[in-house]
Amino acid sequence: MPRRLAIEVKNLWFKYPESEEWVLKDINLEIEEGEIVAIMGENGAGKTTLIKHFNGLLKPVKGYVKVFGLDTREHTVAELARRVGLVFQNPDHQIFASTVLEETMFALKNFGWDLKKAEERAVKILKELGLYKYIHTSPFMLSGGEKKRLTIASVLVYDPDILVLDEPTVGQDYGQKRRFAEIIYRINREGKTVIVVTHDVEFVADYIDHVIVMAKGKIVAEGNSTEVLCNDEVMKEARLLMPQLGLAALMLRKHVEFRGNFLRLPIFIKEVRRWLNDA
Amino acid sequence: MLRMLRGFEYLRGDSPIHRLDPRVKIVYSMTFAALCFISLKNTFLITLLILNILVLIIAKVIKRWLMMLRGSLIFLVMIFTLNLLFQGLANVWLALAYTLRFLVFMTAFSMLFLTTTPEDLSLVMVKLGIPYEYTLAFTMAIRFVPTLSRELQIIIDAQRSRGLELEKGNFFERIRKYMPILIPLIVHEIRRSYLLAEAMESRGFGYTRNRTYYYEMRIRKNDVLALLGIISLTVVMAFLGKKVMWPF
Repeated sequence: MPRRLAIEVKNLWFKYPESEEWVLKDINLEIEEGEIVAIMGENGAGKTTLIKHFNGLLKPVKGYVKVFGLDTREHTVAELARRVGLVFQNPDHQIFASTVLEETMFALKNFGWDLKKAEERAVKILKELGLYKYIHTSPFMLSGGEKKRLTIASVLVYDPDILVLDEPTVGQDYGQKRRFAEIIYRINREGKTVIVVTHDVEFVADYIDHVIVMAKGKIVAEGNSTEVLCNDEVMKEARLLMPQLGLAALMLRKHVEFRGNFLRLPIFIKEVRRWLNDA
Repeated sequence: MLRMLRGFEYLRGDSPIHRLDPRVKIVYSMTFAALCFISLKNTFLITLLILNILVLIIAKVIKRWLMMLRGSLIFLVMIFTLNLLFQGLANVWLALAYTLRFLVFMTAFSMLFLTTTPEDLSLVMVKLGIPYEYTLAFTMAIRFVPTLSRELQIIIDAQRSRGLELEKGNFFERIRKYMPILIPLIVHEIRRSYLLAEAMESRGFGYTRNRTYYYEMRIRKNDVLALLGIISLTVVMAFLGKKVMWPF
């Protein structure tokens, strides 16, 4: 049975009212329910502008965006936000409450949840994301990585069907990145669609299979990350650095008989071993 | 509201007005702002407005002024209605004149801020003997207006994404709803001010009291001509404003 479309973008054009320049130019995109997708591209490629269309913060100038069949032009942000959880890049742009618990419960209060139930739900999510011990601490006292997890918790708490993360790995150490990957996989196992906006190629190469690459307001490539991220032309157009493994494979291909794109370390090592044995 | 502020934000450009000495432009803004207090006749004020608009056209910033006009429409309507209410319905022309006066006043200063860099303005203040720390605070306040408005928009977006509906509820509820927006903004800006202070100190800010400046202001031929033009226009307009019976 074909899966439902979580997000459908058709001929989307967008520009800001005070500007002449189109920020998004004829974007066409389909994301199925239960997928993990990375949207990549250099700064100013239009990634954040695109995801702001997913919960109706921005409305298309031309074309349309549908979320589980709901046209974003016909629904308010509050209505769409229940289905699409958007986690912004900088936690400092949203943290305001006096305790971690209150910060997490904010959305539930907005959606009119019963306070007791809201608290139970918030506690559950905070436990899952390893923040339970800070429940009565001020969110401003948390470390960078913890703040970032708190912002994810404060969105996951109301159980949206689609989770959109804007640059989750910026300024994070390796441990935190792995933690984000675990969180992404876990919520994906619950059947949720996850969209990660990032220009961290290594993160995508390591953890995400489906990738969409944007440059100058357009989608320039879409497909399997192994293929897309090792495509020299696409990466140049999007001004992204190819993952180290891809680069290594490219160099090997130039100098010796060595075919294929090996973004995954185990495959890469296996191939190198085979090649060494053959040689 | 934000649109209105954009009318007072420096717009990079090249025009005879941009190239004028900032002191000349300050004289222009001051005299035109003063001129609109000479008479409350609509035709006189409209003449002033047209003169101002001509200058804005020469400076190639008329589009931005129109944007400001759209943003300030609500204030203009408010001034008009309040005046109409308090002065009595018979004084429609007077209410209109107060509105026009506000507009001319804003336009005169909008020209100054649209065509003069905050750095030039602070240089003028230094010349006037104001300590550099204070003029710097002024320049930074202006420089951070666009940053602040951009950040405000991000915060509003972030909280709306978590279901905050600013447009719902009665007056008090709405005010309360602004807390999740104001707190991150204030905290963020205080943090930024510390970072900024540290970054400035590490680049030697405050090392010596005798600062030198990269640009030295000099009055050129064009500035003298412009100044003469402004003075004669002011004298003529002041005379006309007082002596001529302007209709309406």
